[in-house]
Amino acid sequence: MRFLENTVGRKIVIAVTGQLMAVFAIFHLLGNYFNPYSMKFPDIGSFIWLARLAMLLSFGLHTFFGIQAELENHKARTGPYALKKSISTTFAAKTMIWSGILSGVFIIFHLLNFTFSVIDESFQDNYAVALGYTIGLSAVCLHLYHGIASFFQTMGWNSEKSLSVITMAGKGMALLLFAGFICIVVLNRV
Amino acid sequence: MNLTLFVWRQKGPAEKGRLEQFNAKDISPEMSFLEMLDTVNEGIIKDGKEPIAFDHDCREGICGMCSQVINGVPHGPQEKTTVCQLHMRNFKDGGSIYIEPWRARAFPVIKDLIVDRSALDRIIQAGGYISVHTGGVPDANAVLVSNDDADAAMDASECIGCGACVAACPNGSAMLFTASKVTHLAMLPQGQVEAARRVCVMTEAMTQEGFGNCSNHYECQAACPKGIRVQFIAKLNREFIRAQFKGARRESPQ
Repeated sequence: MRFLENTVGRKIVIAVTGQLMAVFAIFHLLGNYFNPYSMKFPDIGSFIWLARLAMLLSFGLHTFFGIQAELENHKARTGPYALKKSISTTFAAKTMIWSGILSGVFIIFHLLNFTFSVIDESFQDNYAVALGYTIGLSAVCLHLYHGIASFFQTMGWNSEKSLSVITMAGKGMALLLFAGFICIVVLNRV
Repeated sequence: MNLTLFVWRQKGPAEKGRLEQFNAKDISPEMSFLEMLDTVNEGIIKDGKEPIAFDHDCREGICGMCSQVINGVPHGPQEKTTVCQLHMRNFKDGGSIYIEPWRARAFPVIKDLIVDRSALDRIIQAGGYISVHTGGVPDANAVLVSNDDADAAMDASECIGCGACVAACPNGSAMLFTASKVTHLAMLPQGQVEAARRVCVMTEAMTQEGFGNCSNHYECQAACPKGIRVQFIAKLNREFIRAQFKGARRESPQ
């Protein structure tokens, strides 16, 4: 268990689980536009349960280690600087804990809404729900704006030259996902 | 030049600190930042007051002693420059300058702008060494090192351990420092014996000292006076993953 006690080990867990969820989000978006349930998959039932289990596990680990890291980081700082300039970090990177918490709440809401049908209101006929989806999607994509590219640095899957390209691609992917998902909300709402 | 300084004053580690205002008068633009502080201190001493305490040693940009966050940036506004090599021509006449110590739990303030950075030494002690044969001097090219690897090791070894990376990091992490030390030795054949153990114990030592976790802000790279790159952190991460498969030996090698 030394792996999970090490700062790099836990960072790798956060990165891998986060990227699994990001990959799911990509397939989820594609699924919304090209309905996979209408295609003939041989045994989609058991695959879906496997994917759900992986997502549940990822969600739990990502949340646990993410919050733990944030609490430790908070403790590692003593008092704010009277004046502090950020040179290279981004708004997304600095607000990961908040966009993360908001994303978590949004995902739970979304599951209660669509998967478990506990919440009956849909964004198609309720402005408040549509607004909730817009805020939730913004949080998710802000999180991914830093997260997707960050995964490659954490895994060490980059080089002197590719770091900036991967960072740009990660940000681009997050923006694409936002555009894709927000279109569903907006087009169904109008 | 005439400047208004807001300097962090703190009597001791347990005391509460505050910003104190000073007027720096008749400052030459060709003075280094530390010479400017020397001049201000002479005035303070003449007034019979306690001068501003700050760390400095070589004053030629290689020792890593100077440690001041100037206007919100460790080592001040000029890229890849230590405070001692920063000159007053980089500042506007009549402007104000905020001078603060490195702020991190692992770097307790000793006095004013001086912080205790021995936590970095303890990270080195944990694993920043190699084992060598004693006896005669080895032949010059007995161990072959490719030019690319030698260059990368040299780049990583440029770290002067000043701690600007920690001061800049929103998480108070010493990952760039640790990564530069790990990479420096991991690039060379001589560093392979302890490689797997080294990356594990040095990152563990970093956490034990109270430094935070790296979350890829890259502020460290922007603040580093020696241009140490975050790619070395990626290298550390690869070394850590490799160590898991090699089954890092935990026991002390003595």
